[in-house]
Amino acid sequence: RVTSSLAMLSDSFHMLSDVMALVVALVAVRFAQRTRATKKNTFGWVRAEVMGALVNAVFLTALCFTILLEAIERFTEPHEIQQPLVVIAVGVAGLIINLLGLCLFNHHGVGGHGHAHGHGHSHGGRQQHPRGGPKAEQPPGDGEAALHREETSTLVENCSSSNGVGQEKLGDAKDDTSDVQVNGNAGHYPLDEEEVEEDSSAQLNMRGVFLHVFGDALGSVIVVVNALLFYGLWNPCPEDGPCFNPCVNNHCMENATLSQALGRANKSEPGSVTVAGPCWLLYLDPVLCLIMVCILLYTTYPLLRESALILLQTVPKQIDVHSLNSKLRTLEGVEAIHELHIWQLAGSRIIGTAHIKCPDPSTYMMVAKRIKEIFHDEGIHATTIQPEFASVGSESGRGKCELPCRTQCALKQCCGTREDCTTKKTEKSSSLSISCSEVVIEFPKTRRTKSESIPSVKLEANTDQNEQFESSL
Amino acid sequence: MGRYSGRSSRLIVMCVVSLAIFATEISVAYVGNSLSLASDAFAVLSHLLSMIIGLFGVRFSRVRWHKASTFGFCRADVLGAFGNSVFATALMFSIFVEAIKRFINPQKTERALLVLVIGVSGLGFNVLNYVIFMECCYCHAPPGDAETGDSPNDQKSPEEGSEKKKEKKSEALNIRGVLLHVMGDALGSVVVVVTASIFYVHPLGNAPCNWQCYIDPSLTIVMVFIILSSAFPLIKETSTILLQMVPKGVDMQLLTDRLARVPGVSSLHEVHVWELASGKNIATLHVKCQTPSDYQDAAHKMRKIFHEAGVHSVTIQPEYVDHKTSHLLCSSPCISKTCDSHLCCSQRELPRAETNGYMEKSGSSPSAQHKDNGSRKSDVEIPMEDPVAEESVKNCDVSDDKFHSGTTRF
Repeated sequence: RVTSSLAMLSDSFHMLSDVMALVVALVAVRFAQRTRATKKNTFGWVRAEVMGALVNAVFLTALCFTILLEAIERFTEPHEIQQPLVVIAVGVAGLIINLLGLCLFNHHGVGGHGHAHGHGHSHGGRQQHPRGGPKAEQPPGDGEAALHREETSTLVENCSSSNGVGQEKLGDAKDDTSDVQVNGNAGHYPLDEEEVEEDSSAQLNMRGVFLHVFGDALGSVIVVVNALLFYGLWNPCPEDGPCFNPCVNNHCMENATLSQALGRANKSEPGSVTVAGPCWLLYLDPVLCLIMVCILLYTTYPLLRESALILLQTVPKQIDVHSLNSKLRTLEGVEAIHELHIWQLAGSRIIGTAHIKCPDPSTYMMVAKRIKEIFHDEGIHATTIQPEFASVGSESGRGKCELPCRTQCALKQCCGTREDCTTKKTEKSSSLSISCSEVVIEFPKTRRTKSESIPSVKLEANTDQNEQFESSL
Repeated sequence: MGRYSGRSSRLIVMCVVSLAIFATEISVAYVGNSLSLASDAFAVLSHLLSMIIGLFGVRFSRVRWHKASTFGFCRADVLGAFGNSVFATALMFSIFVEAIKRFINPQKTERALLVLVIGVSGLGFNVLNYVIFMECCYCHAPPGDAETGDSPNDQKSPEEGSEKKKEKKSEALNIRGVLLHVMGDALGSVVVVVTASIFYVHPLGNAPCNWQCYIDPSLTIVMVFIILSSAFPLIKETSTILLQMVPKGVDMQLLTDRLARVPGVSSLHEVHVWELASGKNIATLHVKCQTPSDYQDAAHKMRKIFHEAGVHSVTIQPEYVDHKTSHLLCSSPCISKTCDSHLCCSQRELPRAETNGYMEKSGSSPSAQHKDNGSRKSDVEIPMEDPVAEESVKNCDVSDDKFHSGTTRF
């Protein structure tokens, strides 16, 4: 209000959006600390951080989108920077603050809610500033390289807490991560497991915040670069005397004065017009904005993807369901497996459920521990195994669920059962393809499960199991 | 593949038209300096996004099992609705900021006639949209349903009458998202038309801004609030699902009470109930029983209780009580204690009897385990080590003996 500068106003509102992002992250962290089960949520609120990360990623995308629109607008109506020196000063100040914030979030402690955002918006500080201020030199190139390094190091997620499984490379781990290991996890891992586990799930959330601050920093960099170049290379129109600005589309003037302007010197001569400086400088700003949007989107996309995959209840990347399935099936005493579900709650907490069909309870007791070991080796520690025993005299459909819900609930079950195929005539078999036993069958090629042609029971070792059962008695 | 039927192709045409309208509106908004037209354009954009998400959601929800996701992708709808609502909120926030700026620095709407024309056409398009979606309200296959036909619900068996209605309501989550945006668009177009007509009728020319310049921002702010007020409930609903919260119709206390009263059940723990997508509830629990026959009887009854509660996919893990383990703790959390931090609910934080579904039947099994009540905390360390630290078959033999005696009772 004091300087009646619209740009400062917009910048302050942009900082407000930063605050919102930080608030979202903070709320998520606070929530996620309540890991105890409650009446409303039997898992506790551990997932809040993943949600916070997703919300931040979506906010960032929306921000990029609005910047994109404004950049396109600038392409059509380029503006000059009125007072580049002030802009440089403000931009540098913002950049320093943002770099501080980046450092803060790179080694984030508990919570990590610092107010580390400055005038990082690329449209900031452009107009109507009073002249003044010293000119500060800032090598933006170095700043950007440092940013990139920090960015890539933080993008490598900590998967070291999942036992027994090879490390999975997430994001773009371009360079060495051993010494720039995220959040000091390498040091913490043998000491305190809880902190490691917390880090891996909180990390997603912090990444969201980090990316937001990073976007700000990029914006500052762009502001500074643009203003510097503008200051150095632009020939402004002096206030007195006629001036021709070929960069602004003014059709009336074009034809009349263009011929006059050409072939004249730049500086003022009596009776001539000055030509404003190289036009491409005016387009530098939108171009840099576009580059910034691309960089931001490129770095936000992995975060978006990861949090979305967790929320979609997908199998974590490092686990291969088919191999797990085959390992379980080859156990002695296991006749069939169905309803095998693996999903990630948050961070390293992976949950698995399965229905195991065994000939009788004693066989099940023998294999129960082995089953848990197999799951443990894959990194799945919270499992619920339901044993099912073949009812006496049931020869058919060895693979079917012994205890499904009643048939009319088929649609409400997470996965349908095969006997519903006959009762539900209306459902196309192409989509109701999964029976309990078909889960064990692979669909390597198609995403959609068109398994009409696949036989329902593919349990080879059935007769063998029976013999084993008798021998164990 | 009946997917590319008339319905889907109509949706795709609508998407393309929406995109074109968005581009037109946003450019005219910049030319004519009309904020309400810009906000209308953003509303059209989020509407477009929700249609796209709806299309993908339908497509994905038909996948029942995929090696990347054992549940299929029926949650894609929910996630899409959530993401779209958050995106719309962010856009509305930026519009709000612009409107505040315009209050401080009022600007005229230029080229009022052009803005008026575009506004009217936008309004027409929105009404058309609304009509189309009212007509094919249920044209999106609900998550889990097989059909994307025109009237999927008509072909179900008549006995499911009431359940059909519930499904219709609950499966329309994404439809609601779309409808929400459509109505917001219509409102936005009305605002645009009003503002532009005022400027058309009383053009300002070069005069400084008077009261006319303030109409645009104020109506825009009103519109933003209206859209946000309908976006927030959607966010709330979808985040209930995404955060693995207990679904609305399920009362955990009641449920665990009833489950604990089933004969044969000594105690329950690790009871989890969550919603995969609209209407699909999943539960897992561990139950402690004395013998396998107890377990089998109890399992049927428990499933019945769950069915009545609306939970149809249940996985029950039996644990057999022995003198070593506490009555309340999980006998088989994982194979070693170091995994505790990776469990979904840490065994170390022993909760009170109500939370975490730890329920103990009082007075039903008069065994030594009741004494463990007082010494709960000390039991934490001991029992989990015992069955797992010994990798040998000793333990299994012990329990085998128990169950061989148990099987004679079959």
